[in-house]
Amino acid sequence: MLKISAQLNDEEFLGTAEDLAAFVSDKLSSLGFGDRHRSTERLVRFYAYEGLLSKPERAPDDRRKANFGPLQVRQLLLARLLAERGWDLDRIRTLLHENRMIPQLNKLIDELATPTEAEKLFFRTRTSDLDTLSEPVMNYKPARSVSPIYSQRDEPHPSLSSPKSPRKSSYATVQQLRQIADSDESPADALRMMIKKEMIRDDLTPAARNLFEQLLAFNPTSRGDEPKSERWTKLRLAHWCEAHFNIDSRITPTKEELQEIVDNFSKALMNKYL
Amino acid sequence: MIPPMNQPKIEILPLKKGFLRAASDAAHVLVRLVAPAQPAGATETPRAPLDLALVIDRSGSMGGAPLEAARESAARIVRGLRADDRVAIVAFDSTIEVVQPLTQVTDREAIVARIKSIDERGSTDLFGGWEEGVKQLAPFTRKDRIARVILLSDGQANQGLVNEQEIFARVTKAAGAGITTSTVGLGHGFNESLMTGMAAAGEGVANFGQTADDLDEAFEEQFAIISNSFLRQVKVSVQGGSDVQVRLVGEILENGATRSRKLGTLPWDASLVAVVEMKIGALAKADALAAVNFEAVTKEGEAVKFGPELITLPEVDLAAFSVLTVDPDVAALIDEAIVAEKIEVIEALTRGHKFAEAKQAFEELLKRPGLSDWAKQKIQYLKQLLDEDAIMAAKEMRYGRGRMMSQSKMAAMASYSMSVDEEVEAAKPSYLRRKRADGQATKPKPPQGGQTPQA
Repeated sequence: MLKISAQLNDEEFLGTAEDLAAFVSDKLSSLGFGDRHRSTERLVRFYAYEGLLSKPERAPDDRRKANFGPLQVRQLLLARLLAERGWDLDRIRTLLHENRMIPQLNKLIDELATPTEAEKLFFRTRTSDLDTLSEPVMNYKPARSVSPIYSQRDEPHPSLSSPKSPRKSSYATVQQLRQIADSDESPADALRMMIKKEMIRDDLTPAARNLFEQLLAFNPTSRGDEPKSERWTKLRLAHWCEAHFNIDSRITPTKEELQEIVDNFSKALMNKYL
Repeated sequence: MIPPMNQPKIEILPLKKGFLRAASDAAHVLVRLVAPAQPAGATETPRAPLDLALVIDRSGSMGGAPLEAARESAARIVRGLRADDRVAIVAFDSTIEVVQPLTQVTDREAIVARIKSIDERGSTDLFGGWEEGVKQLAPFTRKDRIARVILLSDGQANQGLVNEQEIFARVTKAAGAGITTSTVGLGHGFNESLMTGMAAAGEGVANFGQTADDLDEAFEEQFAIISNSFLRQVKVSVQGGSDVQVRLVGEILENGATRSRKLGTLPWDASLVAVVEMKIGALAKADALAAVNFEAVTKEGEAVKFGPELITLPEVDLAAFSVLTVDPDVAALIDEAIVAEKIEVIEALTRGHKFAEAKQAFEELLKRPGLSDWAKQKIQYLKQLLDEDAIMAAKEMRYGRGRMMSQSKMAAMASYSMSVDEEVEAAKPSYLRRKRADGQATKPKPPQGGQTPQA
């Protein structure tokens, strides 16, 4: 079988973020990777902002236009492959920064195209398309959509039997957040309790764990505590999701405020994963 | 699949070539799995490239000499790697830092500079550090490369996952997926239980020392085993025949009457040994006293089995039994296993602060008839160390008896009963050398900067 790097045929590629997204999406699709590996212009811009993609060149005819080339094709392709396998952005960024040259990236693409047994064990990868990689594209079945929050490990996800059920886990989390918003208890404490409980689970994806860790890093004021000087804390749940917490004990967070957090959280999950 | 000409050989070597039915004393048999010599032409073949994660404990308890030894050892390892090897450096305290992601060893001094920048900090998330080492290697594991984590730590895990059995389970999983783990215990008070347990679970090597010089030989040995590996994950098991009670001699307190044991890696032209103890009852069958089986994994990752090999002995009467001759080399190896078992008991006494009883037990051990010169030297060293430093003596006992039990031996059955000659030992491959003190360098220390273990 030809190596993936030899099948890229991108020597002539030069295009915008939209072109790059389409090129890499088509390439991954033709190589047998599922739809969830698709990129969008927005994702290209996000990866560029996060430092995963090298800076594009300015188009000579239009200085406002950015041109991506074969280097970014490889960076985006690797980033999509690895992100879909559960690698967090920091790890992908480090890898790409250590390997900035096209030959290095080619080697990585060929070496990392399919996850190893060890990676599956220690990265808590999602259901992979690896099995399909060596099969003809026509035999390819779309990857099972596994919950983004809880990834498959040694045992099959219980929800895999039903096509709709994979969403359950995410909805369950959102539902829990809603219940917290309706609770008479200190919402912040209840939120922390919920997160701690959730973090015991050993099937969290790195992305979900990271999200929960950021939430835990926020130290809320419980009822009866001395008021804190800040009135609002801006909390970055993820790059695409920011929540504003009112942590002044004199002002109890309203249900609307909590609802907003829930909505943002929910929206972020939907946009990113579902 | 192992070619027929490269098949290992199972040897059954009884201490006495005959048995007494229903005797009160047990009969002992030495069992060896002997690897063939490396095929002609293959000796020049370089070892598979290494993917190495050096995981360095930077917690407060490692401050001073232990951390310095870890840094220096890691630097020497990096300097000894080949250009097609890859290395990652992970430092951990309560947080995990990837000092160097997995990279080709092209600029050794740049990597060494990063190692030297590791300073001491807070508490010890040992599992987190080890796991990050595994994660550095995990996506890159391939059959044609060797992936190993080397953990340099005092083993005082106090953050993250600290349950030893759970840690061992994860380490075993990693080894099963192709990432082995070796440990290096550093400092005076390191946790040898965790460190030896991780190495055993991780199919690697457990070593300890106080300085980088002490550890050079350990790393040299480790890399030599990797380079010369014929079979890995070798495991021996024994089943008793009708009316025969069997056990493998060597560990009694930890495993009880054990009938199977992991023996580790078998290099080319070497052997792994086990000693079978048989209590032969009145109804035993002489032509099937016991059966021995070996399991292993080839370098290509294929599971292979060898055996069963039956243990058979002619039945003799008391008069004939009393004049049966004993092969001194077989006797020396059997005695080594019995001594290892007795050292385990003395180690337990030492850990229980029963020093007088421990010393007494050493005295009695030294009086044992037919003790080999090598075993005598080892026991005398341990006895002396017990007087000087009981904590370190317990560690030497743990590592020393482990080495007695699982270290590969020469393929040729000779010279085990002879005196230990330093020059003869030095001429052997490092993994066959016998060491009086496991945690110390036997070579004279170089004047400056130490040497580089050649990986």
